[in-house]
Amino acid sequence: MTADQTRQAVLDIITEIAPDEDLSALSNDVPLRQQIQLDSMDFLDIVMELRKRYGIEVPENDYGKLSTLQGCMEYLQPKLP
Amino acid sequence: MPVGRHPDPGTLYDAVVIGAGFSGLAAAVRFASLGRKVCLLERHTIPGGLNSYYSLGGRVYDVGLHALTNYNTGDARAPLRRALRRLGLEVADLGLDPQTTSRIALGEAELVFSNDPAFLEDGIAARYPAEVDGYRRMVQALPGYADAAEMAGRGGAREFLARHLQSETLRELLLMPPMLYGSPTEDDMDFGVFAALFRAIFLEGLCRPRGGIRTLIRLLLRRLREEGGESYFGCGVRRFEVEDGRISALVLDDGTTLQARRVLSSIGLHETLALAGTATPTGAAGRISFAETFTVFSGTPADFAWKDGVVFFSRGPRFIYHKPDGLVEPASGVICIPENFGPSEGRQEGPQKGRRPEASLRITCLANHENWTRLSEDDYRLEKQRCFAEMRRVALDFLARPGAGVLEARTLATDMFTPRTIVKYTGHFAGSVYGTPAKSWKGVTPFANLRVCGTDQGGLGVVGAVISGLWSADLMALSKT
Ligand SMILES: Cc1cc2nc3c(=O)[nH]c(=O)nc-3n(C[C@H](O)[C@H](O)[C@H](O)COP(=O)(O)OP(=O)(O)OC[C@H]3O[C@@H](n4cnc5c(N)ncnc54)[C@H](O)[C@@H]3O)c2cc1C
Repeated sequence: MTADQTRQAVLDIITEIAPDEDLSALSNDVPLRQQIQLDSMDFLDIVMELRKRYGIEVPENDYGKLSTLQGCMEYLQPKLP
Repeated sequence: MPVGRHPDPGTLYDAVVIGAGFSGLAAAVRFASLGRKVCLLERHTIPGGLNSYYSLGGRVYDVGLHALTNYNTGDARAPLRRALRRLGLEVADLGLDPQTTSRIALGEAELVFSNDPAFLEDGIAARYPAEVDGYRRMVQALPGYADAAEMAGRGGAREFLARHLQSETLRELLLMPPMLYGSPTEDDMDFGVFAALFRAIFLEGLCRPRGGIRTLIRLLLRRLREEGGESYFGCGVRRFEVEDGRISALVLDDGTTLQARRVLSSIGLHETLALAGTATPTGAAGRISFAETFTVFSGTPADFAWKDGVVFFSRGPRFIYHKPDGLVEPASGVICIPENFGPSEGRQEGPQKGRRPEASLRITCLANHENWTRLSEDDYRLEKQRCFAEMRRVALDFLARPGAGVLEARTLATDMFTPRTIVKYTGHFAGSVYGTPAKSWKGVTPFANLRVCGTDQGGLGVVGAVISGLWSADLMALSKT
């Protein structure tokens, strides 16, 4: 996957978790939780979906790396097919 | 069920979940979905805990389940829909049959509600015209679910109701369902618990999974298997080993020792602390326990002109909600007619092919655990019969009365459970159904890697238990070990 596809994959997951949020203008560098209403449990839903959809296991110590879209792209892209 | 299989003492589990009631099942699924190595341990041979099922004389009985709350799942963030999504399930998987109507009957007064909150509001406007504005303001003033736990310990529901409503009768009518469906305290209930149950019952509505409670239990077990979680039945935890303020190991009933980074227990706060050798303070055990009668009739509820799914009843103008002095308190309680859930057209279509229609009647009343426990086996059987007849006599006054002898002639099966049954199958101290009055809202215990979930964390009812299990698993998954 390209960086853009990776970004889209994460957005697809967020759409399912928070369908009421507008994701069209999300910035890559600002923590997601400052831009949309996502609590720490919604965040775990992202971890759960990454495992379910792509078989990616995110160990607890890496949770911090997923706080921004940029972080997600850097962390997930090498792990995605 | 894989009874007799045992977890591997050589494995260090990320999480051990104790108890396969709804909170424990949900928590275990969640840990597994997050990729954690999880082990769910249940002492009983079947899952479900307080809301399980059993077979007797060729029939499957749900224990407890009258109705699931939180039916309205239109909003993506609605609690039931959100919880199911987190479990990897969808609302449609449950095959939910909504209620048509339920009724609250208090002496001569009556209110009918459905899954449309406007219907209840109209009923209040018709019977208590002077109160409807106050009622609307009251609903507006209810805290959201997220804030309800914060409201815990901030006064009682009666005071809140009295701030908005003049009529004592109307206040009693509106308090009765939330209280009977989840108050761990006698006579009045915590405002936070009231707010959550008021929303769950009146604003979101009641339903039943078409296949009974087994549907949800099986879905949760399937999800646990799919995610690679382990579960063991007939496999109780006897005690904890404690080191440096942490649970260092779990000793099982058969003497096996297990290691876990984190332990989440759904068996009750004091029941859990007892495993670490902590004595339960006097008065900490819950006082609310129930007896329930169950009768199966040939025919449909319509044959008896029984329309409502659930009837909350009180013989007197004030309902009674405290531990009875005798064995049971028949004057207040809940009637449930499970066959009255579902589309009415569907019901009129008649029985499934090859099956004669059956109607069932469950009557639930408060009961005194110590008094039931004290009885000899012979007296226990006799008292069950006596209380069965007494509970039924009072409750039938709140239903349309078929002709003399009709119910007797149509009775196919009866059964009854008491607080003694609850202790036997769930291990809850004092047969308590809604747990200790002093909830552990944050779920924390004096042990760093041990939390409690379910009833004693404030997750009341089946849906409450599921949400509590998910929330607790998430907090544990996010906490450092
Ligand atoms: C008569 C009755 C009617 C009810 N009706 C409804 C209703 O209509 N709607 C509704 O929403 N809710 C209803 N409820 C309430 C609902 O059943 C409970 O709130 C909910 O099931 C509690 O779930 P839980 O996970 O907190 O605990 P539990 O169900 O109590 O689960 C705890 C589990 O732990 C196991 N356990 C105990 N000790 C050990 C040990 N040492 N080692 C291993 N395992 C252990 C127990 O066997 C049990 O399975 C009813 C309850 C009763 C009794």
